[in-house]
Amino acid sequence: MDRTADIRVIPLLCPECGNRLSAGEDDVIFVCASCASCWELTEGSPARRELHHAGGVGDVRLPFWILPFHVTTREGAVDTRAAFRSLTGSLPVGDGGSDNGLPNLFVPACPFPSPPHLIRAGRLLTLRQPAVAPIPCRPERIAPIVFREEDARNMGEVILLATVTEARKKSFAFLESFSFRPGKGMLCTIPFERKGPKFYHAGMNLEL
Amino acid sequence: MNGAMAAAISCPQCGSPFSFREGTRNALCPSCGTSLAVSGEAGIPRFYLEERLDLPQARSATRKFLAVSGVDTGLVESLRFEKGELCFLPFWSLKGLTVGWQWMERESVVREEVVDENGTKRTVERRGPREQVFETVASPFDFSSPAFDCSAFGLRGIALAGAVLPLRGMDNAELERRGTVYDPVKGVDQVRREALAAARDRSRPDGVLRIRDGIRICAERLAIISYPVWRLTFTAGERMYPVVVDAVNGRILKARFPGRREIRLFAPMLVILVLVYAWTLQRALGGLALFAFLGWMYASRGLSPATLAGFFFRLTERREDISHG
Repeated sequence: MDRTADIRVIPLLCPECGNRLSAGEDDVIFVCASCASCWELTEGSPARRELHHAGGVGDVRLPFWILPFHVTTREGAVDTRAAFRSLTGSLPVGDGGSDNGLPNLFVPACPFPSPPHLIRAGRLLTLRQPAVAPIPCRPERIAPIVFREEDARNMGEVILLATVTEARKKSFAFLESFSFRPGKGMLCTIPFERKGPKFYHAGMNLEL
Repeated sequence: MNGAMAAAISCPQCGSPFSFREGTRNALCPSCGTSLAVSGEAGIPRFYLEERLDLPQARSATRKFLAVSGVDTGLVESLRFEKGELCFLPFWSLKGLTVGWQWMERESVVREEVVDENGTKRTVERRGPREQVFETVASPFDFSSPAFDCSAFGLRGIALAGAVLPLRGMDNAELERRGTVYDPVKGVDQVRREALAAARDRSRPDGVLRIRDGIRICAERLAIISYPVWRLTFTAGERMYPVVVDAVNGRILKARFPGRREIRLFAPMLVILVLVYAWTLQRALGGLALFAFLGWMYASRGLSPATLAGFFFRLTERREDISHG
């Protein structure tokens, strides 16, 4: 670590295999191309992070923070997928897993063309509630990871509210009673097919 | 601050200098290809802007400023600069994304078209029912704020957005050899609070009756940038005057300087004429006028012989000092 001036320059080398980690300008989590381990700088030193990969076909993998959550509103507690669908007025799409399981919040960990696109991507995935079953693999192309778990927690509330029906959101009483509690996040990549500037997931019939 | 604001630092792997854009987290060494994370004390990198004006240029900028600010040409030419001190003033820079929501209640306006008695159509605006609106807030955010009370320097903010000068990695030891380095006093939490308040203000529309929001700042990137200014002192006559000069663009940020000298023939001549005229009319009236004049002098300037002589024989007077910034 260079500390000649009041600025620290830390070379990004994989603590596992010693290879150089590739990093974009805004990356916060780095994936080693050589040993596929995943690292985050915390207080100037690399700390290991678990990165999971969902099964599926695609030429690029978009990383998402998946946070199980509880919500309390004046209409009651939302702690199952079925209760979440009732809150949002959405229908089950594809294999969303057990109706009794905790609902998951999907927050993009990669950059999108603009912040509203980011919210939209999180909203669409959260509404679909895809069952994410991690598989062992070493993907070649993973989009840069620019948001930490803390950022995902900060974005969580607005993404969740974006899934709720307009009539509920316009109610002051609903918002006053709205309380969102995210659980521990899991970083997981989901494969998408690149279509020009957009990404498409055939299984979920989803275009981001 | 735009993309052109790059900091020059050297790679710890190969020693080559590399450029680093303020507001980004990582850079790539062009020589050895190593990715480098740039950070600072407590994760906050510190940079400084190199001064573009040296002391003689700062003095020259002051003289130019005084010349166009109503100070006598003779005084501008004769003023003596006492000392000059280069100061580095710290500013916080916070970049990130503001995300959140806001719920608002506001009055709606209903436009109606009415026809008056002359048959002319007019559009009339009427107050409609209150409407509730929910909006999602999501936008990039760029905030800067002084890291200490720099009101004494006349600098309230630095035009980070327009700056195109290269930043350098902060080196306290090096900068302290050149000038005075001011440490940040304002803490990170206060900057975050200020930034959040600014983000809220920015997204708040007019005419709102009630508002509730849940706005947060994500992907935060903090930095401290030290900005150079010259603090100069000059003497004119028997008095000393302070000046603060922006060491990047030569702008005078704060100054106090002597007012213009003016010829004052009218006041003593008027007094003499009034006294003589009153005396010629009636001696008692002349005495009364003289008494009134001495009373006024006593109250305003004093009644010493030197003051009286100054009033009648000093034909020029300098106006009050002028403050700028």
